[in-house]
Amino acid sequence: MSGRPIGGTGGGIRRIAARVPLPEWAAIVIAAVALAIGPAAVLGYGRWASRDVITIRALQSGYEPKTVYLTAGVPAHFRLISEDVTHGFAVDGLDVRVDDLLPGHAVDITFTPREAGTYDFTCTRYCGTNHGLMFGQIIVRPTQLPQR
Amino acid sequence: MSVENRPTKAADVGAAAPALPAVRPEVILGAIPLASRFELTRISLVRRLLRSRWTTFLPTAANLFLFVIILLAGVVGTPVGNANIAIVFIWILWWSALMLLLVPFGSRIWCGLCPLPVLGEWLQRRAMVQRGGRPTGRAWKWPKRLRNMWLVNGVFLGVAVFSGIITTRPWATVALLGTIMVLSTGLFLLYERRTFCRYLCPVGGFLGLYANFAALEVRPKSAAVCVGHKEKECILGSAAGYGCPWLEQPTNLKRNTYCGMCFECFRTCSKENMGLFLRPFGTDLLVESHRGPDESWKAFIMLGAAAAYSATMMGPWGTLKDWANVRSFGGWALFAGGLVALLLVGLPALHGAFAWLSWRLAGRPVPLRRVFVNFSYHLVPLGLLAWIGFSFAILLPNGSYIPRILSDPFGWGWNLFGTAHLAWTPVLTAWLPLLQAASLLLGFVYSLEIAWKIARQTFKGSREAARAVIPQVVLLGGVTAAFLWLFVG
Repeated sequence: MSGRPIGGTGGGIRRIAARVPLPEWAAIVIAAVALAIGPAAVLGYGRWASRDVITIRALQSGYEPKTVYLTAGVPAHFRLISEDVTHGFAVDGLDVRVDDLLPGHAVDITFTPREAGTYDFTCTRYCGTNHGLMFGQIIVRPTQLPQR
Repeated sequence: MSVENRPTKAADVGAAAPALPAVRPEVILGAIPLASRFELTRISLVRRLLRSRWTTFLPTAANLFLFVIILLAGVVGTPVGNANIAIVFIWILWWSALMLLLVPFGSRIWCGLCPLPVLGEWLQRRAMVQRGGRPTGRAWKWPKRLRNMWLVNGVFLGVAVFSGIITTRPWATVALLGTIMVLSTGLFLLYERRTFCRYLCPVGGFLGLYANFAALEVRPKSAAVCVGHKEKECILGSAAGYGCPWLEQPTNLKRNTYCGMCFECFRTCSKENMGLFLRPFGTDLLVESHRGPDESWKAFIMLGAAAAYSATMMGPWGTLKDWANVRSFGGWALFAGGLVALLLVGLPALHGAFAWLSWRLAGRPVPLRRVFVNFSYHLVPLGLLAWIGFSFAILLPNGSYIPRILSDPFGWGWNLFGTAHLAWTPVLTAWLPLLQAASLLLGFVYSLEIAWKIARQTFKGSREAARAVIPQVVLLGGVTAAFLWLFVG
C-alpha cells in the first residue's frame, strides 16, 4: 500500500513522507511509543504519583539528601529506601523511628511536625564502617500565615 | 531395530507424513514415532498469522518497550538487584521462560522476537514492517573461517566469567545488553542480513544448539515442490518479504540450529510450501549432516555452565560466591580460570576419554573424531533438562518479585499497579528437589535414548553400537548423579 503523492513544491520531507506507506507509518508510531513515548509516560506517571513524597536514600556513605525542609503543622510523607545494606532511620525529637530499612524495600511514613526547629536524624542499625556518617537534619520552619 | 530403519532423508527434512517411506517407523522412548508431525499451519489462523508481517513486529516492539525500561532501570534505578526490573525480568523471568518454555516448545522463537538487533535490522532494511527497498550498509559476507559456533562460544565464555556480577548488578546487566545492542546495530550495517545473530550473539549460540531438541520446527511441506520451484523466493526474497535473514536455505532445512523462527519464508513462498510442525523432542539431534566440533564444544560449555552456576549461585560454598562476585581480583581470576578450564578442556577431555572407550569397544570402525563429535549431541537433552532444573530453582523462590517489580520497576517506591507491597513468597519450594530430580531423570533417559540412536547411526552393526554405547551410559549416569548431588544432595 503506498501513500498518496503530495503535489506542489513541498519540501523533501513531504516528498519522503508521501513515499512511506501507511502501514510503515503505523509501525513508526508504534516504535516511537516503544522507544520513547511509552518509557517517558511510565517515568512521568511514576513521578507524578509520588509528587508529594520526600524520598530519602540510605547508603553506606550517608543519607541523600542530608537536609530536608518541612513546615510545622503540615503532614510530611517520607519514602525511605536503602540502596545497599540494612539501615535504620530515627528522628530525634519527633516520634519517627524505622529500624529495618531493608535494601530494595521502600518504607513510607507520614508524620506531622508540630513545632519549628532543627531535628537530627540518624541510622539505628550498625551498617558498616561509615555508620558514623549516617546522619542528617530536618529543618522545620514555622507555619507561614497569609499576610493581610 | 536395524540401522536401515534410521530416518530417511525425507524424514530428516521434516517432510509431511505422506512423503515418508512405508517402513517400520523409528520410535523415540519406545512409543513416539520419530517422523510423526502435526502441521500447525493447517490451521488457517496460524497460517494467516505467520504470513502477516505484524506478527513479528508487534511482539518485538513490545519487547523493545520493556528493553528500554530495563536500560533505564540499570542506569537510574536502584542498585539493589531484587528491586530492579533489569535483574528480575532478565535473570528470573526471561531466563526461566527461555529454558522452561520458549526453547523446548518454541525452538528459537525468542530470536524472532528479540529486541536487541531490531534497530540494526530496521536500519538495514530501511523499513519496519513493510518490505524495504535496497538495503542500507555494506552487506559484507561473514568470513568463511568464522562461519561456525567458535566465536559464539568465545563470546559466551567471556560473558560467563563475569556471571556473578552480571546476574546481580543492574548496571552490569544493562552494560551487557547495551553492548549487544550497539554491536549488533553496527554489524547489521556492515554485514548482510542477521550475520550478528547467527555468528556472534552469545545467547543465539546455545539457543541454536538446544533448539535441536525443541518440539517445533519450520520445514518445507514437500521437498518435491521446492525442487521444482526455481524462483527460490525463500532464499532470494520477493516483493512479499526478504530472503532468509538467517542465511539458511529454507528449502533444505534439516535442523533448527540456525532457523531464527522469523517466519519470513512463510511470506515469500508463493507455493505456500512452508509449514510449522510439532514434532517429537530431540529429532534434530539425530540429523548427522552439519554436525561439528564447534557445536560439540557448545554442548560441553552449556552443560558445564549449568553445573558451575548451580554450584556458585545455589551451592553452600561462600568462597566460590565471593570469587564469582569479584570480591578480589585473585579470587575472580581463580574462578574465571577454573571455569574456562572446566568448559574448554575438562569436560571435553572427559567426553573424549569416554568417546575413545566407545571407539575401542566398537573395534575402531570409524574415525575417532566422528565418534567424539556424534556422541557429544546426546549431552543436549541432559544439558537442557539440567538448565530446566536450575531454572526451577531460580523461578520458584524468586518469582514473587515479578509482580512487585511491575509496580516499582526502578526500586523508587512506586506502586503503579498496587502490587509493590506484595511480600516475597517462595512458591512450591517444597517440591523443588522433586522437580529438579524429575528434570534430571527425564534428561538422563532422553539422553540415553539419543545416545543409543547415535551409536546405531555411527556404527554399522548393532553389536558394535551396543558395545560403543556402554561407556556413554556410564558417562551420562555419572553426569546425572553429579547434578543430582548439586541440586538435591
